[in-house]
Amino acid sequence: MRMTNRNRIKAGCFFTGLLLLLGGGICAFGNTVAISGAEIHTMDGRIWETGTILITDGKIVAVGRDVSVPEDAEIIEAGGHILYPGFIASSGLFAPGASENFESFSPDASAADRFDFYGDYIRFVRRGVTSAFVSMPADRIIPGKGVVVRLGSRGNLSSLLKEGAALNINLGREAVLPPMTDIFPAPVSIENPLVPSIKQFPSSSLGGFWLLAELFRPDPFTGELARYYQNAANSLKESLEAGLPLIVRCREAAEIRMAIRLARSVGMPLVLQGAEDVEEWIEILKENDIPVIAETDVTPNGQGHSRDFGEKEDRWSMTENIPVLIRQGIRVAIVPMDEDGLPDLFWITQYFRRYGIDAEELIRTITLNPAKIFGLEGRIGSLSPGKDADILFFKREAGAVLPVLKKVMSQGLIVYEE
Amino acid sequence: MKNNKCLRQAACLFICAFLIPAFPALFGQEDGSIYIKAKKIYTSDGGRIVTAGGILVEGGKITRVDAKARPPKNVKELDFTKNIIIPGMMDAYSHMGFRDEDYDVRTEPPPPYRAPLTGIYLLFYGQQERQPSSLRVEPRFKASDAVYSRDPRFKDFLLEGITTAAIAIPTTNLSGGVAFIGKLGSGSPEDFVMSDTAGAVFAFAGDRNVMNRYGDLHKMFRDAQDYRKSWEKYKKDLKKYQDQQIDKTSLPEGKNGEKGSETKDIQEPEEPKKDENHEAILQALDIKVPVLIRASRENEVQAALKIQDEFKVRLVLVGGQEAYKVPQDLLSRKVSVIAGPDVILNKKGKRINYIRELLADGIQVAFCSSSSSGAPLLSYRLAYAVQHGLSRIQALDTVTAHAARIFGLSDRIGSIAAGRDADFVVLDGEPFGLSTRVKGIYIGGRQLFPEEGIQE
Amino acid sequence: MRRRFLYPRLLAFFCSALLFFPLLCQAQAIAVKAKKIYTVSAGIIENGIILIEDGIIQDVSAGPEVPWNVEVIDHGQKIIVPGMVEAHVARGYDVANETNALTPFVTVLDNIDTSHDTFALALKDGVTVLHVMPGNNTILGGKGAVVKTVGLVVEDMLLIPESGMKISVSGTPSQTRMGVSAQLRRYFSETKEYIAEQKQNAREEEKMVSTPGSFRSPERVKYESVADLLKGRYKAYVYCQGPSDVVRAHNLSETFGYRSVYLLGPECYKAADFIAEKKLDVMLDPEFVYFERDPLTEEVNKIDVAAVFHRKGIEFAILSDPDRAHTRSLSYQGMKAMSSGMSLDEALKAVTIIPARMLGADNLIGSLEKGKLACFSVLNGDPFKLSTNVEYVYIEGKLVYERAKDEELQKLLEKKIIE
Repeated sequence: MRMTNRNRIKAGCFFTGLLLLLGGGICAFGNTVAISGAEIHTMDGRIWETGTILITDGKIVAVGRDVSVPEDAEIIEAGGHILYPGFIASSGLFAPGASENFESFSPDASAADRFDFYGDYIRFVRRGVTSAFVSMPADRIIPGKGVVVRLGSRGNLSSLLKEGAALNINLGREAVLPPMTDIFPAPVSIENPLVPSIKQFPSSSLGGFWLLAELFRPDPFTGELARYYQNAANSLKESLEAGLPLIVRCREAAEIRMAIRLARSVGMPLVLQGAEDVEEWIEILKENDIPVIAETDVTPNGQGHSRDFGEKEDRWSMTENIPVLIRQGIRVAIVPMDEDGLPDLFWITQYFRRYGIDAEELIRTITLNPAKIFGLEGRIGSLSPGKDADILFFKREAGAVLPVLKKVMSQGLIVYEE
Repeated sequence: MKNNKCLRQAACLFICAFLIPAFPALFGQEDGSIYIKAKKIYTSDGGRIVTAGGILVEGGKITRVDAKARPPKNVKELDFTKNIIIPGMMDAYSHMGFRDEDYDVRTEPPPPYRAPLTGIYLLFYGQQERQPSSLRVEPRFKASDAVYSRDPRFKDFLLEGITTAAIAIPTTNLSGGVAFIGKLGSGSPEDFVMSDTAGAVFAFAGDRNVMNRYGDLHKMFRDAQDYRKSWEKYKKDLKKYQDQQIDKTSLPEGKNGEKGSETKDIQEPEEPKKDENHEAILQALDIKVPVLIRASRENEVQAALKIQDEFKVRLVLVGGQEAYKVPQDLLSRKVSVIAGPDVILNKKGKRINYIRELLADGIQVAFCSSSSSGAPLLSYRLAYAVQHGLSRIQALDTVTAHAARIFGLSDRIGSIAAGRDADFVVLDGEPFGLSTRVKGIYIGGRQLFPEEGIQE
Repeated sequence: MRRRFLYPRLLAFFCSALLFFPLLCQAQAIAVKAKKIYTVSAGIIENGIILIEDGIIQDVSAGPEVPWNVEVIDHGQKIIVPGMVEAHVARGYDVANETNALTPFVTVLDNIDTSHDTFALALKDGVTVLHVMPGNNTILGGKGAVVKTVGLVVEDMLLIPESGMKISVSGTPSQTRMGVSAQLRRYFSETKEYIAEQKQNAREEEKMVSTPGSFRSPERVKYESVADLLKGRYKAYVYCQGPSDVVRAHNLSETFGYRSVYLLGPECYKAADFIAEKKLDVMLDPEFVYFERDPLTEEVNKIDVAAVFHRKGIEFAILSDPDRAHTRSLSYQGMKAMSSGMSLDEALKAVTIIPARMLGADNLIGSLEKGKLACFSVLNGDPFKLSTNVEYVYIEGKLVYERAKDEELQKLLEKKIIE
C-alpha cells in the first residue's frame, strides 16, 4: 500500500481504534465474577457435576468444568450448591387497579403502563422468581400487549426485558361481557358522541369470534365500523407486522379451534393459555409447535380460611392436563392461578413428579420454556455464554424434600441471601 | 322311585351348592382374612415403625401387627415386600361431598362481573360492597344429611390415600351445623357415616368483627342453657301439678265438701317449645360432641379460648394459625388444633411453620384441607411441611393418630394396631415424597384399588 | 393694538397649562420602605426602598434616589417579602373535574368563583398569585389560568389567561393506567394528524373563520387545545401519583414534544434520581411525609419526601392544601420545608421564583427586582416563623390587604359577634 497521506490517516484511525478496543476490553474485565465448584444445570441440555460460571458485567461469559478464571475476578465458592437459571413466571398481574373498563379491544395498550417499576418484589425474588411476563387482564377480547420484566427488589429497580412481548387475546365468557355497563353513563357531548350500540358488543362468544376474524383481516372494518375501530385496527396491524406471538386465553374446544385457525390465517405464532379442552388438539399442537401456558391451582401452602369456598367458578385449572401435555412433548410453561402462589413456583412444578415426570423437565417449564415463548431465550432461561447472569443457588439439606434456595443472583449481583 | 333318586341327587347337589362357599370356612379360612407382608409399615401407633413385618386382618379388622412377618397357614397373603404401608389418612376438616352450588347460595342476582369499589358505583347503585351471601346454617343442620355416600369424587380422594374425613357444611356463618365422620369407599351408606355427630362447628374466622361473633356465640350457648332450665322448670312444675291432681283425687272430702290442700291451686304448666337448635347446642355443652371453632388470628383464638373457659366445652380449633403464639393457653385447657390448609405463615418476612411450632409445644395437631376438593393435596402440603422442619412421622401423625384422637375414634381408625379397622394405604416410596405414588387402598381389609371392587 | 396681544396670551396660557399636565398626568408612583427586604433575586437589603411606578418595580435598593413627588410609605421595622406564588391550586371553583375524563377544551376561567375563600385565605397568607387548574381525576382536564388573589371578576384577576393543560397519567377510579396511557397516546396522535391537516387547509380555515356565521367544527374543538400544547404555546401540568407515572409521563412528553411540569404524589420520591437526572420541573404534594410498609418485614417506614428531594439537589415548588390542618397554608408549608432541612432562602425560593419560573411568569413575579410587578407582603417578622403575621399585602403597587382592618380576623381574635 502506498504511503499516501490518506492511507496514513486510515492506518492511524485503524490502530487508534484497535487500541481503544483493547483498552475497552481490559476495562471490561474490571467487573468479573466467577462461581466455582457447583453443580450447574444449564437447562439447555448439559449438567455439569462440578463446574464454574464466569460472569462479566452481568452476563455469563463461560460455563464449564475447565473455565479459566482471570486473576482479578471475584470468586464465589459454591461447593455443594446446585445452580439453576432464575425462574420465569409466565403470567400473574403484579399490578394493582380495578378492572379495565376500556374498549373491547385496545391493542395499543401496554402492560408496561400498569407495572410499578419502583415496586419491591422481594417476596418473589427471594423464592427464585427473577423475571415475569406481565400480562393484560382477562376481561376484554384484545386488552393489549404484555411485557417481560426483570423483577427488582430492595432498592434495585425492575427493568423491561422486552416491550410488547406478546399480544394478549381472551376468548371465553369473561371477555365477551360488554364494557362500561356498570358505570353511570356519561351524558352525550362533543367529547362523548352518541355511538351505535354496536360498539358495546360482543356479548357472546359468537360475537367475539366474528370480531376477531374481522380484526385480523387484511383490510379490517371497512365501512361503518371503520370510524370506531380504526385506531384498534391500525395498532393491531403494527403488532402483526412485528410478528408478536398471540397468547390466547381460552377454555373450550371451540375456542381452541378458533385460536388455531386465527393464528394460521395471519401466520402468527400462537400460544395457548389455560386451554382445558386441549387434549383433543395435542396432535395439532405438536405439528405446529404451539406451546401452552398452563395455569394450575395446586399450591403447597394452601389458601387461607377467608378463601375457603369456591370463588373461582369461572377459572378452571389445567392440573390434569399438564402431565399429559408434557409427556406428549408439548412445550409447557407452568404458572399458578394467582399471584399469591407465585413464590412457590418451584414447588408447584415439582408437584407433577407424581405423574412420573422428572424434575429437570419440570424446571424447564419455568425457565427455558417461557424464555422461548416470549422470544427471550437469548437472554434468560438458561445458563450459557451470552445469557444474563440470573442464577439460583440451591443446596440439598438433610430431611428436606427438595433442595433449599440459598442465594439469588440477578444480573451478576447477589440480590438475596438466606 | 326314580323320581326319588333324582330328587335326592338334586337335593344333594343343592346342599353342596350351599356348602361350597362354606368350604373355605370349613378349612379355617374366614371371609376376607388376609396377611400383608410389607417392606415397611408406619403404624402411627406410638411412632412404631415395623420393617419387614406383617399385618393380620380378620373380619375387616386388624388382629395383630408382627415385627417379623409370620403369615398363618391358609390365609391369603398379600406381598407388598417392596412397598411401604401407612394407615388410611384422615382429612380432619373438609367440605367434600358438597358441590360448588352449595357454596355461597345467592338470593339476589349476580353482581356486575368485577364490582368496582368506586364512589360512582356506590353512589348510583347504592349497593354495598359485594359480600358472599352464605347459606343460613343453623346449629341443628347435619352435614351427614347433605352428603351422598357414593359421590363419584370420593374415588379421587381415596386414590390419594384419604380414607376418612370429618365433613362439615361450607358456610361463613357463625354456626356451621353438625359435622360428621365419613369413611370413603365403604360398602353401604350406613357404613359411610361412622359418626353422624362428630362436632358442633362454629366460625370466628373470616369476619373482621370477632367480638360480634363471640357475643353471638356466647348468647347462643346461654340461650341453650336457659332453654334447658326452662325445660327443667317445666318438668318440676309438671310433677308438682301432677302430684296435685293425684292429691286432689285421693284426698278425703272436707267437711264442707271441699277438696284440695292448704296451698293454692297450681296451674298446668305450659310446655316450652322444642327447639332443635338448642338441643344441638346442649350436646356440645354436655361435652357429648367437641366444639370445633374456626379461628386463625390471635384474637379469634383468644375468643375461642374464652368460650372454652366459660362453658367448659371440649374445644378444638380449626385453622389455629396464630395459636402457636399462645401454646400454654392451649395446653392448660387441653385444646387440640386441626391445622391447615396452609402450612407456612409469613410474619414480617419470616416464614413460620406453625404446625411444627404447635407440635413442638406438645399440642395435638391434625391436618385438614378445609375445602371440598383439597383433600388430594394433603400429602403434597405435608411434604411442604416436612421441607420446613416437620419430621415425616410428625406429618403422618397429623393425618392419622392425632386426627382420630381428636374425634374420639382412636379405637377404630388412625393407626395400624390390633383392633383397628383394616384401613391402610400401600405406597411405592416414602410417604410425603413428591414422586411417591399410591399403589393400593384397603378399607376394612377389602381391596378398593387397584380397580377391582371399587365402589361406583 | 390689543388684538395683537390676544393670541400670544392665549398661547402663553395654554403653554403654562401644558406645564401642569405632567403633574396631572403624573403616574401613580410610590416608594415603600422597610427594615429588611427579601428580594430573592439579590439577597436581603437592609433598610431598603422599593420604587414603584404603575405597579411595576423601578428599583429596589438601600438608598435609591426618591423623586420628590413620590409618596413614601414607611413600614418602619417591618420586613418585606415577595408575594408568594402557588404553582398548582385545584380549588377556587365548585367542581374540580368533569365526569368525562377527556375534556381538554374546558378552562377554569369559566369556573372560577372570585368569592371563594381560596383567594381570600391565600391573600391573607401573603400569596399574591395562584395557578388555578382542574383537579387530578381526569386524563385531559382542561386549561388553567394564573391569577392574582384579588379581583371582583375573573378578568380583573388575570395574569396569564391560558396557562397550561392539565393532564393525569395515573389511573382514575374507573380507568387503569394502561387505559389512560393508551388514550393519551391516541389523542396526541390524532392531534398531530389534525395539526398536519390544519397546515394544509390553512387558507381555507382563514376563510371559514372570517365568514360571519361560520361554525367551529367538532374536530377543532376536540383538538385545538391539545394542538396548542403540542405546538408549544403552553405547558402540560401532569399529575403523577407514583414513580413509574413520572417515567411514563416524561416519555410521553419526549415522544410528542411538549413541555411538562410534574405534580408529584408522595410516593414519587422513589423516582428522585430520575427527576434529578432529567432535570424535570416538579411540584411536591403538600404532604411531605410518606408512610410505607416494607413488603417483607411489614415495618412501616416514614419518609420525609421534601428532605429526599432537597438532598438530591432538586429544585421543586411547594404547594399547600387548606383542607388539612398540617398543610393549611403556603407559609406553613414553607416552615415545614425548613424543618425538612431547607434554608430560609431555599424555602422562600420554593414559594416564589421557582414556581414563577415553572409557570413561565418569572418575568412578572417571583422576586423583587426591576421590571417585575410590585407584588409583595409586609410581615412583622422574618418569614416562615409561626410568630410572624402578614400585616399588609400589595398587588401591583396597590394595598389590597391590611391586617388591622381585617374584620373577619377581628371577629376571631376579639370574639366580637357582628350581627
